[in-house]
Amino acid sequence: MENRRYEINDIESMFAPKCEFKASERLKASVMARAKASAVASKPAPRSFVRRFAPWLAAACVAAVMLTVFPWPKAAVQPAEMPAWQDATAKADLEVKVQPAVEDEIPAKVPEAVTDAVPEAVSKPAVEIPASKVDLGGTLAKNERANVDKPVAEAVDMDNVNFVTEADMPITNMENYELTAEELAMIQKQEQLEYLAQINLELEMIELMIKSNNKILEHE
Amino acid sequence: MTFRRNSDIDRFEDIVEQSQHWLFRFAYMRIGRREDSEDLVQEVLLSLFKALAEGKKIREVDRYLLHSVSNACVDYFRRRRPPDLRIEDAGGVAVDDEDKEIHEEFLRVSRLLQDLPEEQSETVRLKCYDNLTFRQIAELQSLPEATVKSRYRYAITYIQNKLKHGK
Repeated sequence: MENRRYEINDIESMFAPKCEFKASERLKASVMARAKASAVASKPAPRSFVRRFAPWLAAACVAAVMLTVFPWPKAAVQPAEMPAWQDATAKADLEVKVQPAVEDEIPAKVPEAVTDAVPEAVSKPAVEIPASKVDLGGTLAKNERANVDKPVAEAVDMDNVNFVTEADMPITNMENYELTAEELAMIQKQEQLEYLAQINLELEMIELMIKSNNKILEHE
Repeated sequence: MTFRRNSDIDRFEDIVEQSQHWLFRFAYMRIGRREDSEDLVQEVLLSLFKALAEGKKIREVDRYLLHSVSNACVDYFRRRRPPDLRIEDAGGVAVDDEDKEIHEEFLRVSRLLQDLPEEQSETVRLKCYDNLTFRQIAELQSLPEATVKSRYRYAITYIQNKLKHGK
């Protein structure tokens, strides 16, 4: 094995360079001359301003054409810009929603801003636009309302209705979060009344059960 | 590395100065003629200059030159070498006095490798004479490294037997 490795080294040394190879000066001179000639011949021309920015100009032209052909979408109409007859219809809808709540025995809590509008709506009778008056062209009179198909609540006597104003339910007044002595007494009284009513109901049920049992026993 | 200015001509001249001799040696040990070898090296260097002038990025110039000169030698033998040219005929080529030494070197190595297949002899030249690693040879010839090693081993074994038996 050792002899074999030695022989391999000898073989590799046999193939190693034994002399120096040098290219002639003619080679270098010829190469440099041809290189300089090709460099001068292929020198690129300076790019003009237009050629440098041609892609950007083309993109700008395309964008301008697109904006011209496809205009920018308009913004949505603001609620404040609604016409007067639509505004009155919106108020009537709000009034109709408020009136059923007013009819309840327990007084409803309605904001003060609505109280001013409700009397006006209640005083006026329901306006039913006859078919002859319906103008499909949209040229209705300002005082006439369109789409009056909704039921109108009955008139309510406003004198006996207690409306809770903003002063009664202030948001920032911490005193209103606490029950007064009168409110506590009223709550206790209501609880006692409800308990009495429950007891009376149970007594009636027991009486009815006794009567029905007696009838059954008599028949037997 | 790219060429963008006229001052890069000086850099190219430095590259020519550093690589012309080993390129000439590579080509001469395969061709055996100075003029053809220098023409081949000249074309290789000009192709490098053209590639750099066009803006191509070349990370390793020596590697690029090695691949170029190897491919140029293969093309040379495909175009010019007659099929019946032998070493005995190459020994009769007229050589100048200053080229006798290198021509004798060419003949010496060629005789040692004459009985080997072309791919094995080329592997031995690249490994021993041009001092390339197996990985570099494999990359140059687009072969697996194991194939290069096996070719080299077969060539060395053949030469060992040839020397032992005095063939």
